[in-house]
Amino acid sequence: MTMLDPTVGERRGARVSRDVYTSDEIYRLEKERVFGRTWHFACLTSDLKKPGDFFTVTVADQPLILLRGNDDVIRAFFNVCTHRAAILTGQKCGNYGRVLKCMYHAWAFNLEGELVGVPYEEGYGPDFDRGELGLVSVSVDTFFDLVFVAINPRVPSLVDYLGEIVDHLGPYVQGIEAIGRNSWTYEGNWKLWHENFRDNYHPEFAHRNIHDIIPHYADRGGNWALEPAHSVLQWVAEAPNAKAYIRSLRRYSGVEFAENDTPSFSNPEGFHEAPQEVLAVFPNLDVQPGPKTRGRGMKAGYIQTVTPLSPSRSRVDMVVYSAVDDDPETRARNLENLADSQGSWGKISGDDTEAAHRCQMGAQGTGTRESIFTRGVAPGNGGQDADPRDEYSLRIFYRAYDDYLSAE
Amino acid sequence: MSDTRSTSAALRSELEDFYAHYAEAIDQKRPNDWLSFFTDEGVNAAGTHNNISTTGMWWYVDRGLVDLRERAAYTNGYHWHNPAKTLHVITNIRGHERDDAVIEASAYFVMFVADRSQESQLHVCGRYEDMLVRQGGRLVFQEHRVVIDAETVPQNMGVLL
Repeated sequence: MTMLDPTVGERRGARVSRDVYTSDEIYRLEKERVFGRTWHFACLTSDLKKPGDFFTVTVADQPLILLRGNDDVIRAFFNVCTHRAAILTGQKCGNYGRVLKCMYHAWAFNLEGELVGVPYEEGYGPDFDRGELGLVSVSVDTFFDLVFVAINPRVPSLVDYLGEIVDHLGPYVQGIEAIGRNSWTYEGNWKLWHENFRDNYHPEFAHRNIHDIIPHYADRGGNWALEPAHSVLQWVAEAPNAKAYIRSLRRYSGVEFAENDTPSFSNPEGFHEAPQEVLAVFPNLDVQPGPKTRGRGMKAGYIQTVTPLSPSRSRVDMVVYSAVDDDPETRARNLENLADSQGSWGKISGDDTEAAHRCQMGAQGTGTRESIFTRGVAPGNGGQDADPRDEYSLRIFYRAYDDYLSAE
Repeated sequence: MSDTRSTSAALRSELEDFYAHYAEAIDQKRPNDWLSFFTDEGVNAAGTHNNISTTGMWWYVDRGLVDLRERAAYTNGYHWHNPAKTLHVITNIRGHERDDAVIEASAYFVMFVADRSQESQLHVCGRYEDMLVRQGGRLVFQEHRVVIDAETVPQNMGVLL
């Protein structure tokens, strides 16, 4: 099965059937063949600091639990009792002590997943074998401070899976820890959200604040594909135009501003000459570190994953992170302000959420049945010299997507 | 620990009146009037329960009139989408006046949205943790902090709370 335009070679992935946003059958296959066979960001190593610490995630509708064992090893299992399938915990995170005990019949598992306790065990007869009924493990690996899980990975090595994005991602994700988490849902397919973080064409149009503060912001940026399925998107903000911003705020809302107002979002200190990146990892992760020029920039930002809830409904989970050695004042400032632009409330992401919703509504239409990702006509994956608005990053996503979806 | 102090009838009445007018300014989409409910240095913050209680992280903290104007603009037309109709119900109001004349008030709120062509739906609910002062013969927020009673929120939270 292929969902994409049959064009072969460099332009493959350039035209995509809109069925990928609406079809129940494709959604079912995505869970099995994409989400069931790829690596997924779960948490930070600092979320699992000591033995017994756990963190739960859901991948392809399957509940998983990550645990740090008494031997300091991080393991991942299905968060499912092998007796009657009750999930062992419904909590996001915490510490289990030495034993995970199922609430239903009190079957107990140690931190290594072995079944160590069965009430009234003799009733099962002499052939009962605890060794066959330990928690079922799934693949887990770390990339510096990031912890990934995979149910049945097609690429067994996480580093191989990350491929060319390793050198871009590595410097950002060392010495960081989560300082807050937020989640929001939207009425749209999950890919619409992830596409957005590979797309440097939309920001100056979809975000009025970017248009007003930094017109043509992408002129000095970049956006190219990284093998085997990832991408990097860059921009360099210029000196902001606060007056144009205020005029526009007033025009769209009717809110009265004073002539000398300098709203925080147009604060020159925050934007001037600040190169930034968004790193997109197939299929559903993006990492957006702060500006490289800021003292905290390399070690503070957002990690977002998008989880499909149905073909037309998704949830975004955002981790806000900061450097482990941030002083209390810096940390407090980050805690208060890092999420202001993100989320369905965010000064930027609020518009991204709206765009995803509008695309989902339009994808139902039968007038046109393909979405177009054809910007950038040179062969290859683009690069630093390519137009930042080109769509190499989206084509590599859909090439990989089609590969996974087509594989029996 | 819960606050077991009782609220005087006079203060409760004053707060009920204040919150009713506050909700009306939002729901009638009068952003410039919404601004008048804050002091010039007023704080407006929102976040979710778990973040605030564990890490102290708010989605945003608007500090002072310029930040508040910016928030009012985003939530009244500057974002590409603002919910078409909102309705705030503010209840369970309590408060007490400190020796320095600052009133510490709390309330529950429920917000309904009738968006695009949809019927009215519960959007979010939560509580206010506020500090108010009297200014020019009326109450105004020195701090208005909104704690959402959920960890996952819907799209279109570009709203005043």
